[in-house]
Amino acid sequence: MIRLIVGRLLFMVPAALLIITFLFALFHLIPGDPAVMLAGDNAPRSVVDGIREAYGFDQPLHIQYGRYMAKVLQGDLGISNYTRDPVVNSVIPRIINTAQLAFLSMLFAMVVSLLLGCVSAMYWNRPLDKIVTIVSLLGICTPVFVTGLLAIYFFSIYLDWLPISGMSSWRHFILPVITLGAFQAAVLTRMVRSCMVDALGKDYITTARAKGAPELLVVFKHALRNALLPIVTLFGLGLGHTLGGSVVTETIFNWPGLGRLMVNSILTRDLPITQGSIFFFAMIFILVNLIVDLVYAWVDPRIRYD
Amino acid sequence: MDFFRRYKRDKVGIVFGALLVLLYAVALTAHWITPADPMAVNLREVFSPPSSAHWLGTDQFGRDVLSRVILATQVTVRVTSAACLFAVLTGVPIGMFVGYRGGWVEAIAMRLTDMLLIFPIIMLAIVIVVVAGPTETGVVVALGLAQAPTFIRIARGVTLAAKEELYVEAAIAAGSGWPHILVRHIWPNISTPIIVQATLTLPVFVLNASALSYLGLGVQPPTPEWGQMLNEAKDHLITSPYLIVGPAAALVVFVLSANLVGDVVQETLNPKLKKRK
Amino acid sequence: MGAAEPLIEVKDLKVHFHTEDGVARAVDGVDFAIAPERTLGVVGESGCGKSVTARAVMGLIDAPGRIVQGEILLRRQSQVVDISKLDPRGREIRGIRGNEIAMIFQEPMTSLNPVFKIGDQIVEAILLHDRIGRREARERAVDLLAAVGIPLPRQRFEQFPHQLSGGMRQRAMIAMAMSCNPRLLIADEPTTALDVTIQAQVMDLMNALRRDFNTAIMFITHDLGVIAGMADDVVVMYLGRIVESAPVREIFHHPKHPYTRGLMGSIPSLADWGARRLTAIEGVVPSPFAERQGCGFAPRCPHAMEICRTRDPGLEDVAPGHAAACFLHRAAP
Repeated sequence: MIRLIVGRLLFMVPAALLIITFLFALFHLIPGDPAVMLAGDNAPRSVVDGIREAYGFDQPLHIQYGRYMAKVLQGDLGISNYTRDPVVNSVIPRIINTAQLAFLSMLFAMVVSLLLGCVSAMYWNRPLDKIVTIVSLLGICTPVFVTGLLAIYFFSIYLDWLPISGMSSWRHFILPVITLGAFQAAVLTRMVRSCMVDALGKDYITTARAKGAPELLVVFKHALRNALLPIVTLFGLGLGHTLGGSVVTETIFNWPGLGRLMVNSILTRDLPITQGSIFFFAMIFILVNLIVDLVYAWVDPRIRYD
Repeated sequence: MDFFRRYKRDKVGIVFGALLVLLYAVALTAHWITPADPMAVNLREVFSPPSSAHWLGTDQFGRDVLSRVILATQVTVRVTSAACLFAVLTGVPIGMFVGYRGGWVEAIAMRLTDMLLIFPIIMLAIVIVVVAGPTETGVVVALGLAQAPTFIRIARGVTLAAKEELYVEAAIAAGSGWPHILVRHIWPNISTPIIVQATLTLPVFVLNASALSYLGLGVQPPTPEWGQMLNEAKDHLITSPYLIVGPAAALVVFVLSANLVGDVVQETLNPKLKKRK
Repeated sequence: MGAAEPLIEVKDLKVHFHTEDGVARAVDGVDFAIAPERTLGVVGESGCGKSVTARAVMGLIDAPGRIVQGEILLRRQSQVVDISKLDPRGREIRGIRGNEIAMIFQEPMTSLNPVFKIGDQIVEAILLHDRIGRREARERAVDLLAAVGIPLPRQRFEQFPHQLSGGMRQRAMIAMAMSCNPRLLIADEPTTALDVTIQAQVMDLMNALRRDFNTAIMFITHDLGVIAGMADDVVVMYLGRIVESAPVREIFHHPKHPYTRGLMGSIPSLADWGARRLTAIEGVVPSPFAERQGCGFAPRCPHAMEICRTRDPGLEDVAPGHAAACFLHRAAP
């Protein structure tokens, strides 16, 4: 177990270096003068030259690469073209906002999908199961921005119950969390259901029934505990997709998160911010993946006790 | 053909297969069947609600929404088909090659692929758009590359399995070169799983293409695209909520049909799956 | 069979599976009874309905299967319960399962839940039926593990199924089945998945338990050799029906039904081994979907007569306590 943790943590190092390398490559992949991109389109000549000097854009590639790597490793991701603030300062608070949204959405999705998935598997092939299946199918076919617009129209405009955008009170959380969570819930419900149907067909379930265990115990202890192995992985993937979906959700609800920051920076050609948000998103995904692996190892006794 | 005979047994497959065919027909004939010019601005007729003249109303420039939804079908089909082809054409050769070659090349390629698969498609696509630019071509490249790892994995898996087959070993022993072996002996095994995967990922392409356009990182106005139309409609949600109906419905129906057809195709080619459901 | 009041009595049991391909008559009219402390061997090839019969007795028939006819009577001190009429998920059948009737299965590798400790799975079985404390249940579980011949029971208690060998897992399954002192133990091919040497050990164990716990056993197998060492009485099943039923000695010394004789022929003995030949029965078991006409065994029977293809023989006595469903042993009708 400890070897697994150390191994996975070590995996993060080359991954992080690869990502920084990619961010560096962005300077030269994007058409245009990298110094101008960093300074902003309307920056005065002196600023552009200063940046060219600092990053060594007039030097050979490996020296530029070395300088950039050194800067990033010191926590310097550059300065925003517009606010002129260090990128790290504007990115960090956004990360927290995105984390709140993604975490709550995922929590919503997990609770809903576990409940619906188990109930669906319990009533396999009966009307209740079919209703759940159809609803979740519709859910996975409805993109977040469609659900979001419908929710805004219905709850904010038509009923006037909930605010349209921002995140200044708990009421602002409801629509974004449910919009983003509902899509994930639909995806996960289907998967939880199929994991549970699978688990309920196993021999040890017959053993549990033969013991005289009541159906609720059979489903929620014997089957669910086994189905948890694949479900944990699915939830991990789900968390990744929720973070991905947060980009769109944040844009719909004007949520001051990392995703909206990234999209806006791309639209306004604010390269340092784009690089910063890509960097942090990537690190978050790798971290989430690591945590999922560890949780998986912890849930499976075959890994934990060997 | 055997495939169609078995496919026909599935009622859901027939209904949504027909719907999907209809959508593709609409896409192909879009220029002839739009009731009005989807690009024609008419400032005297802005924001008119649905009527017999404009079934889905008109938008902020007085353009006929139904016509734009129809043209957007074509845009979506064009973008997603190209992106899908792009993903297959980049992913499959790489997967076949590294699977056949083996050794450290394979190890490194698969490590990288695994790493890319950690990230959601939309994230990879957005990052690629930063380089490729927010255009229609950009979307094709972005979605194609973002989905390529999936195809790399499948192509590699099948190649690994096929490599163990006796006739392939015999061909290797007989001194055939690797391009010959890959094309003649391994490709025939790969086509079926690739087709299945392509149908299964079609809805993913559609969803992500429209998401990119919704974010303003994809198809740019005035070319209509469902996601992009919804983005514009959002600004007028209070006054003209009917603007979201057309693009939203078209998008959901397309994705739903593609999803169900994908499921049925997979079950038809792999009947064991159905028993488990 | 024994003169005592039967513990369990199955009357004209029919279990059908309604599937897309038609109705499979897995069990198609079966009668038998098991007296207390006796062992009934149920023999037949796979697909003959013996496992489905066992599941029916446990009340474990799941959709698309359904008990369409018949009774399964469990005799208690004061009353008789018909298991076939109980709600398969209800409270009453759960009080019987694992308590009065317990079951062990063919695959010890998959029958134990991989994510729970061996001991906890036994404790669960005890606590479901007995109102005793957790600690007491643990002690009983450890005693049971020791009783089924598992060395170091306290250590094994804390282990997960994947840490035990196949034979040990089957012993643990038996310990779990015996945990509430059932009056009937159903063993569904408990040795089939095990190595030959382990098989013998498990058989010895079951014989010992039969004496110590005074449990009646319904022992299901396709292996007549196993039956010879275990059973008091034997029923032979074919295509969802009983084709022959007799005390164990009688069936081995005077098999009547050609199918039974065929099964006897497929036991590999040393003599056969020398000749490198096994007398297997020709052909395969017909599909249970097929409409039955005449004797189900006729298509494979070396002695089939005209009447066998048109009329159903039905189970009739050929000697005291010995019944067979075959026209060969009847006076001409």
